[in-house]
Amino acid sequence: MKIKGEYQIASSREKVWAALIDPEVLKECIPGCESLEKISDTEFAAKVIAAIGPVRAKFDTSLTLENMQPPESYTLVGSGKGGAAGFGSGSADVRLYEIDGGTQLTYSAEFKVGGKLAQVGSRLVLGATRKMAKEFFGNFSRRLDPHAQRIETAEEKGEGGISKTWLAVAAAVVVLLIWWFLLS
Amino acid sequence: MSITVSFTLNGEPVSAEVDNHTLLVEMIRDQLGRTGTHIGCDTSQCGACVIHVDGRSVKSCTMLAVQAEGADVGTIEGVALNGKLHPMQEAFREYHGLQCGFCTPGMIMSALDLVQQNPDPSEQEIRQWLVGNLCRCTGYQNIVRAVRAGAQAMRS
Amino acid sequence: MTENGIGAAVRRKEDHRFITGQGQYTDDINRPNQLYAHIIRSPLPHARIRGIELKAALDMPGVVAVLTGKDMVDDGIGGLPCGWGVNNKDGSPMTEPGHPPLAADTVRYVGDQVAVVLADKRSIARDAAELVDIDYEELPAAASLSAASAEAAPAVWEEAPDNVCFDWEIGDAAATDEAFASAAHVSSIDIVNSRLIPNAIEPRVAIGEYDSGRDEYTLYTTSQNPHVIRMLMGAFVLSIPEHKLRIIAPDVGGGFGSKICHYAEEAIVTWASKRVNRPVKWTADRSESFMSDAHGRDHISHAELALSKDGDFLGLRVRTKANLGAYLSTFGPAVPTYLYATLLAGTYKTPAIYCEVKGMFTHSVPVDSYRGAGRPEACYLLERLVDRAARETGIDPLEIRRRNFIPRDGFPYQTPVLLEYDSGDYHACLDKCLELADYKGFEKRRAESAERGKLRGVGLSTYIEACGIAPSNVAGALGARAGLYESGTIRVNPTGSVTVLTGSHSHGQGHETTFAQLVTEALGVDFDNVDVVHGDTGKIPFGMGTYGSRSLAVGGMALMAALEKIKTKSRKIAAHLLEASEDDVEFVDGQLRVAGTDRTVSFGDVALAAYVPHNYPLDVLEPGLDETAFYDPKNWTFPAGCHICEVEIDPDTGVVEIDRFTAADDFGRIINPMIVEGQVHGGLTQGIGQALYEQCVYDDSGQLLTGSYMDYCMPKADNLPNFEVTTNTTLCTHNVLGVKGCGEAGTIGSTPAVINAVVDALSELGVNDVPIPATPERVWDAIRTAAHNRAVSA
Repeated sequence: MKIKGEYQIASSREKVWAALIDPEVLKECIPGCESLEKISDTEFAAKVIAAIGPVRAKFDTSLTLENMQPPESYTLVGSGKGGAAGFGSGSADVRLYEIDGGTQLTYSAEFKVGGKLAQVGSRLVLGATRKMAKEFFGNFSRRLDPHAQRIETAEEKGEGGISKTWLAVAAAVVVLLIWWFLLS
Repeated sequence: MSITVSFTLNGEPVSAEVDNHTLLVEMIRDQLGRTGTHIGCDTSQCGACVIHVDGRSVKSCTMLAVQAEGADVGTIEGVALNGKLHPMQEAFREYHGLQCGFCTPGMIMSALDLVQQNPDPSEQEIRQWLVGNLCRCTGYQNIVRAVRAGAQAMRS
Repeated sequence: MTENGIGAAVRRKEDHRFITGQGQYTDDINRPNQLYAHIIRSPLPHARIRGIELKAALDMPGVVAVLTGKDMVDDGIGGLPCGWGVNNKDGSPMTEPGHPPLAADTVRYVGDQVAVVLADKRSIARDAAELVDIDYEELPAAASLSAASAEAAPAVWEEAPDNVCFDWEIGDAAATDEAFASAAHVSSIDIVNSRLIPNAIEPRVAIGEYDSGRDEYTLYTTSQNPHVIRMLMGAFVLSIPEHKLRIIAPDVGGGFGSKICHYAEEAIVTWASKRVNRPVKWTADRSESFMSDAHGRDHISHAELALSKDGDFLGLRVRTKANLGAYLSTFGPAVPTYLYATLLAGTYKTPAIYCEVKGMFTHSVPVDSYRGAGRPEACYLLERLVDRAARETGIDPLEIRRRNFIPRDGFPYQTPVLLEYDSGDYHACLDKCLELADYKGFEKRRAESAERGKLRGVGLSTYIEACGIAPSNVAGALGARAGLYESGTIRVNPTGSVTVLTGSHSHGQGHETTFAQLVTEALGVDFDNVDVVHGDTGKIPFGMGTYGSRSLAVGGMALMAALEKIKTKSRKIAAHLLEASEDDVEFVDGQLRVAGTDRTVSFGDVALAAYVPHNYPLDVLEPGLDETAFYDPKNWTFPAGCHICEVEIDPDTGVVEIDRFTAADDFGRIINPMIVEGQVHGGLTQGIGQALYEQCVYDDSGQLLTGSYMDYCMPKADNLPNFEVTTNTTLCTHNVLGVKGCGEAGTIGSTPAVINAVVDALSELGVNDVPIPATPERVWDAIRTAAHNRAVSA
């Protein structure tokens, strides 16, 4: 499954970049994040409570930052284990562009889920994940810029194959597996 | 954590020590030994565990045992009175509304609630009511016939 | 016919306990001091197990043990055996990898068993399982046929680098090629036979118990064939001799083929019960059932039919890939070969048939029998192809079938694919079905639907089924590693009541009633004085169990043979009591009478004399009246029939509604028409389920996506019509009752009837194929695509 998104943030690219790799910022912005620990400059360990449909669990998540090109881009590679609830893994390419009056952030994430999450929640994963992503980026962007703008992409308008109904269902459900977009 | 739960089961007072996460169906089967109520799924879809709580049909896998405190609980074991089959039970037998029998207690308990609310349900009403009860053997046709006949017998 | 004898719609003996909640299913059984097992399953489709950390789980209060594949290896536990070997085209045997009950080093599908937690409470076992830390090295996986056949696909087994388990063939390739060379028209079709999950409403359960005093094991299990489990598990997995192993399969809540297999959990609990010296109980929750019960179907085929200019079938060529899953299940290899391709003649006299089947390993749940097992796949392919040929040649679908049917006087009929049909009348079934379905009135109904903006279609299928996989020596020559006979015992008790012991197993089929009817008919014993015992190797001499619609045609015939022995002995005893010649004594209405006289003795008195042999020919006859017979069938039996389906489709939503469904079946002699009708209803529903609702889905990475009833669509009460069913009987020629079998027929014929109707409804829009399940989305998509194509070509 793939999702994409774009944000315009009224903040310099350097500031956005710094925030993107700041564990405290991330912890605050990730819905359901109980703890986030910096293992090294490029490795984090997080505990995140996430639920999708009937599956709810605490995910032990590990994150690695790869292809670091400060302050332009990196790839975030993550995986989370939720015990009997299953697991998720994926990666996100995050890019920052300088634009008039600030920074444009784009992300393109690819992820998969397994175990119980796949078996009983897969229909909801895409929608819930997208919602999660919005929530995270919303938090993140507003933290840097209370007036940050989210740019609607075609996919987000529902042309990516997911119906409004599912988005509504997903929205009703609690949130999801986060780490992939964690930083984007 | 252990909690004592007490309620009326088929007219008899019962009580048992349960964990706070014990499901009502687990208490009924494991602690109270009434195994006529079955477990066929873990997502509240199959209806094999349907019982009555305070007169209404309930999926007992979707209720915690502690929620039944003080309730009037009815299971399939209490449907026949003094050894005499209930007309709905008779109808299931007469119309071959069961094969392996696993879904049957839930079907009967569900049907009884339907008839209580709608004494003369149409075929379509029965089919729609039973959407929460899965049967893999019968193709439902004879179950529907049985419920109609059972309802009629209950009216007369 | 006696009141409760053969042909009577007797109400079922077994129902009382089921409608009063007194059935005893395996999960209703609890053994003193038992432990609860929770099986830890792989969440990955393919991975190497680098290590398993048990300490945290073992430290949890209430946890007694956590056992792994390594423990099994250390104990010398064997693999789960495959009961049918299939050979490649060149005569070499199929690739047959091991099947450890607990994976020791590699997991091969989501759900593969890795470890078992034993604890005092179910909830503790479950919680402790969360603490077992398994370090997996994830490997690439291929769960689907297409992924497993791709170039450089990840191999499920080193010994099968291309994932091919066998490359098998049947029929005469040269003769078939010749037929195609002379054909006036060739129709072809690509068929995906979707993967299904059987979903008996009772999940599987196994309780193992070891008696150290006697060194004996008991396994309570949800099985269709307890003796087969005893044989397989005792001999191949746990090395327990049969006299030390008892298998009890009590009331079983539906099987549909999924409870034939010998499963890992049976071996795990039995083995573990000795390790910890306490009974061990495992109950699957539904989520586990989805990823551990053997799945069904899952074929991809290309088929071609050669026709003469008049529409005569000249030849049939079929190429099939069949998904076997990650391991070979008990009858896995037999299903897409001998239970599939041998049925490709269908009801037709096609002179040349050739079929090749590649059995493929994939990283998915093992695939085995699911109601019909191979025969629905064959029928779906053939009947879709015949309908397409009718459309392409402009011949009416009825006419093309009638023209090619094996004629009434054509029996016995040797097909080009092994089987010899003994009897049938396909024309009569078709005619009866047409009449009951009011086929003539269809066009009027179609016009009425059109007025409401709906598309109406009619589809028919004719099917053949082969039941009772037999005779044993033939099955053995084809690769069966077991006999396929059945045993039955008629135990006349001293006061004249009868206990029937059968090796068949009832899990909804109503044997307790049907078999009692046979006894009542034969001996005149009151129906209420006959009880049928099944499902316990400690009580039943032997048995091969229930599958393939074989219970009556094989198990029932064993009982008939035992009844014949009882009658013979009874006549001897009566002759002595009546001081007559044995040859002059006849059975009449529960009495034994000297022919042509009024001198009689009741059967009850004969039984009493046999057990209290004071006035008895002890010099020539043993006391007692208890006879066992084994019956090995002389041939398969061949139920056949016709199904007609009428659908109405809403073109705006793609929703398909079945408005009418009619079946006319030939099951041979019918013992209990009420039970037979119930079997047909259930079978039809499962076939309709495949046509419109059900499908098991794996994602590209090998994760199972349909793992609950929220995702796997089961047919529900409001999805289905009332079925019109009837029968048209021709007797089986090679068993004493002329019975054929009725358990699977509904499933076999109904799927193509539904889809032929859907295609018929959409044909005016230019649609000529719709995949199964024909969900609203797919139907809507087919309508839109056809409209688009029309617009482009216009």
